[in-house]
Amino acid sequence: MPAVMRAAATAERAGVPAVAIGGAGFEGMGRAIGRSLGVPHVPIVSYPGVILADDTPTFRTKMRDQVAPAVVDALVAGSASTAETLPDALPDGLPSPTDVVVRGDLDAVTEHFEARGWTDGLPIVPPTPERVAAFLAHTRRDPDEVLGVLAPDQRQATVRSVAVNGVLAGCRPEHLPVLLAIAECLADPVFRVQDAGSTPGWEPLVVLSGPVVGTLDFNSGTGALRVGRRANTAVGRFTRLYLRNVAGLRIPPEHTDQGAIAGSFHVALAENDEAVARLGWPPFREDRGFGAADSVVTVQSVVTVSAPIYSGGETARDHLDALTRGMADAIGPWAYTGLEFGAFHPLLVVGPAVAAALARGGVDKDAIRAHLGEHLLVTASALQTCAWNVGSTSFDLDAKAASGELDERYAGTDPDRLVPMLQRPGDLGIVLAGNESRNQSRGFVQNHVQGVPVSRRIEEQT
Amino acid sequence: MEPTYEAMWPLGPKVADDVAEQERPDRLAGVRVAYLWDELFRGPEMFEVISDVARERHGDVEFVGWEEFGNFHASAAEERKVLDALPELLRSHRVDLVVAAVGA
Repeated sequence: MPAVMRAAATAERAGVPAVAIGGAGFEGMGRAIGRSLGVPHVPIVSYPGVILADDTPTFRTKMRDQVAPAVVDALVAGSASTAETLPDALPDGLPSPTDVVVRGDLDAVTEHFEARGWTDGLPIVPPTPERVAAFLAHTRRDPDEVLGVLAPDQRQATVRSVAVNGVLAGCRPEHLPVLLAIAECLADPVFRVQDAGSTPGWEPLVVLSGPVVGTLDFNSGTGALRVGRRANTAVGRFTRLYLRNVAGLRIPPEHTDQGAIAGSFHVALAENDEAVARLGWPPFREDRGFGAADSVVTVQSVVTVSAPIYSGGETARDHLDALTRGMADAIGPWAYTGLEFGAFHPLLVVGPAVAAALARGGVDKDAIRAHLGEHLLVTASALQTCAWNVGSTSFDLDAKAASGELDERYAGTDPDRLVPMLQRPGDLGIVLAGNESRNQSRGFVQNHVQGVPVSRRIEEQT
Repeated sequence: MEPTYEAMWPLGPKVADDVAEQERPDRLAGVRVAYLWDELFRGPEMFEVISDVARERHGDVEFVGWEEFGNFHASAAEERKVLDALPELLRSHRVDLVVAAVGA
């Protein structure tokens, strides 16, 4: 729906009236985006039901009897504009960024924020001017500096709003430079925050690499992604709150987030720098193009997580085979999304003991990527079926290969042929973290061009 | 007695400019309607039915196919390219109205 509304808004800005078509249940999101894009009057016609859950005769009947007549009506003058009937999802008025919006005890503040959709459902820390000022003391940047504009709400992401939401989430003041870097990642156009409310329900994962892991007490060991260490937990919570409050992505009743089932925020993942150094492998921040002395935040989408991947055996190859099976199960036919949209960046979190076993066998990060690139395979028919079911009804693997859009490894017409899940194995991220006393790894499946990994260096503490 | 807190606004100013509502024709006869498609959810089948119903009700309606404009639901770079080119393409095809689909 966001892309449809952006297309409709572009037409309207060019002076051509538009009508948008969406599935039932997407009106709220469409209207919210229409408001944000300055086109609240664009009519939205909804298909009654779920397009891909209807058989073809039902689909055609609904189109003929309901959708097409409504579209034709909406194209001509006198059609009901949606502008007057829209509920204002956020009765926020126009407060100044420095305004105090409520005074009261903890319950009153929490109720006020909850009633306006400004919380994630958990209790909050009141963002008092004093607490916000304490956060802002950890940066030299102007509180009004605009880091970017976050869609779909089209709100400015400022240094101050980062501090306010950092307080809300329970962060410490010294976390602010990390939070600023996260907000910059979210605001980077490459990240496509405007699609963070898409139906797959992907969730941003924050990855920290560098000295900041130690200085701010992030957990990179046992339970690395378990709620329990304040730095990991509060920074992860901040990320989801910032998407909610500044990007404007909310589950019902506001319903601007269409994640069908979705998941909760991820605790921030911290890299085990000592384990990396012991192996002589480049840390994740160097993989991302930064220096060894830098502290770096990376944010990327995660649409699902693998089962725990236990690996063992006499050789590095034994570990590689186990990693391949675990990642193949996790990614499965979702790999079509990378082939359809041209980007795919899964992340493999490798247990330090597994990494050590691989290194002893002469396997480094590039060798892991090469092995997975060669051995992560899926049938063409599984990709094709998954694509149709998700909604990519024009996806045609054979045609993409025949046209040269996909290379010769994808060529053919046999639906049972095996093709690589990873078009570019070099885009696989690898981070060392987790229990050093076990042989476990995990795979994190990314969501194609939505939530492509974006990294920022964390400014030094003031 | 519980302390009293003053809490600051966690959102931020919106920056979008409103676009004036465009005038629509009273009838579709003689009008050119463009389809924009994100290559999702059976769009061409939808467009075929819409075209049929529009012609039954309004007579001579012209349609410009989605292929003329490209897929606006792709990579960030591709979407930008498609949308940047859209105003000129709408002009060159003398488009009066747009149907953008399919959001779900």
